[in-house]
Parts: sequence; structure tokens; C-alpha cells
Amino acid sequence: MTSSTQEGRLEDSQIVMRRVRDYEIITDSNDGPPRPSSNAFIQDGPDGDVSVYLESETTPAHITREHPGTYVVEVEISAIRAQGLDVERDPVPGDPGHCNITGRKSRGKARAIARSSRWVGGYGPTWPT
Amino acid sequence: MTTATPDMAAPQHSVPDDVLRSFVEKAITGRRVFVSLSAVPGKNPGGPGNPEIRWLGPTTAAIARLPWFETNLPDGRTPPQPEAAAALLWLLAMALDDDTIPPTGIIPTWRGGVTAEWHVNGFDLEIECDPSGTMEYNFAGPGMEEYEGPVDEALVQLKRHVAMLPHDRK
Repeated sequence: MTSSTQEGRLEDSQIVMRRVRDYEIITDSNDGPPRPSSNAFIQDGPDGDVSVYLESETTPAHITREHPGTYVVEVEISAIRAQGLDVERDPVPGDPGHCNITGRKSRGKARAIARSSRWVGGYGPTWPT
Repeated sequence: MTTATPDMAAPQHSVPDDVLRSFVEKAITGRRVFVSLSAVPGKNPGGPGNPEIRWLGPTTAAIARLPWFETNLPDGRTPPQPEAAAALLWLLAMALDDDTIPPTGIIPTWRGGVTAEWHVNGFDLEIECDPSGTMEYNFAGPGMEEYEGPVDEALVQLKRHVAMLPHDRK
């Protein structure tokens, strides 16, 4: 991580990770591979922002340790910006790589981002059964 | 008015009848829905006058699996609210005229709402009911203009979009 990316605009090629609860998982065509629901990328706080973590500054194991009961997906920032949204740094204690997805998140935009995401460590939901 | 009770759920998971009644009367004046216990698979006596509602059992079971009583929800998340689940069941009962609709996924929202989602053969339909009474949905299909906005009062547009979903008419 260079100082320019720490202080300036994040690069399109950077990857952020998002935590997903087991009840936020859906499948395409009912029998496709599980993916996060659009709800996982719409809102997770009163201000409407969605928490993500820079892959270069943390690990899936750290995220699941800090947030038990969650799974983790990763997505390129370019896929988020392609929907007219942005990713801004928002360091928090213990997570200097914490960021927020900002902007108005429609269901369609959130679904497109969810479909661009890939599961990383810690994945193993039993839903749907 | 009677509410549906999930066939597999513990009693505390069912949507209280008085909550459903008060919510529906507050949200949509003059409309009623009757979803009887006899419509739940396994309790359905059948017959032309009482056809089984195939989507109801799996849907109520999925609602029952939501994290109703999970403590320590992250980021100030609100647990699912019975009003939202009741509103969603009501809306589905009104909008799903054709019982060959594929099974739906039920997902909670951060604000305590409940979403029903279909993602079938390139078509997407997501219906969200909020505890405040707001009902919105998103519909997208191949080569079609995406719609995202409130459920229309007469449900005409929503029913048209529901009809476009690939159905299981076997």
C-alpha cells in the first residue's frame, strides 16, 4: 500500500471485501451458486453506507473474527464505480482499511455488485436447504 | 382475517393475527386477504373450492427462519418486524394470481423489513416490505427496461411483472 492510495482516491483495480450474514444469501435461477442478496450491498447503517474492507489491509479471517457468524465476499472497486457508486476510506479502530460504499444504492445497482462478488475465506453456508 | 402459520415453525414464529389485521387496515384501507390455515400444505383438505396455495408453505417457512430473535445484530441492524412479514404475505397473496410461481427467497433488510426475491432465467424480481408500511419492488428482465419504485396501488403493474417471471407450469 502506497501513501498515495492511503491518502487519495482508491484505485479501480483495488479489491474490497464485504461481510455477508447467512440470511443474506440467495441463489440465481433457484439452483445456481449461492451469492449475496442485493440487501447485503444496500444498507448496513443509519447513514445508508455499506462497510467494506480493503483486501490489501486486512484478511477474511480478521473480518470473520471481528464479526462472528459472517462470510466474506470480495469485489473490485471498478465494479462498484460502474454502478455510479464510490468507495471512500473510513478507518476505524482495529480496521484501518475500513471503507464505505457511498452513493444512492438502488436494488438494481446492489444486485449488480453482488453478482460481481466472489466468495473468499470462511464461506460455507448451509442455506438454502 | 386469519394469518398463516408456518407448518414447521414454532408458535412464536407465526405472525400474530392482530398485527396482520391492524397493519393491513392501516396500510391498505378497504382491502382484505384471507389466508387460512387450510392452505398450508399438510393441512389442506383440497378440492376445487379450496385449492392448495403452493407458494405459501415454503414462503412462511422461509419467513420463520429469519433471525427473529437473534441478539447482538451488527451495525445497529433491526431484527425483522412482524408487520413487515405480514405485509409481505398479504402482498404476495394479492399479487400471485398464478400458483405456478417459482419458490422465492426471503431476505431481511437492515431496517427490519423483509424482501421476497426471484432470480429466474435472467429475470429478477425483488419485493420489499418495510415495517413503516412502505412497499417497493425492483423488476428487470432480458432486453427490458428496469423498474424500481413503489408498489402501485392497484397492483396492476406488479401483477404484470410477476406474470413475466418464468413459471413452473408442469
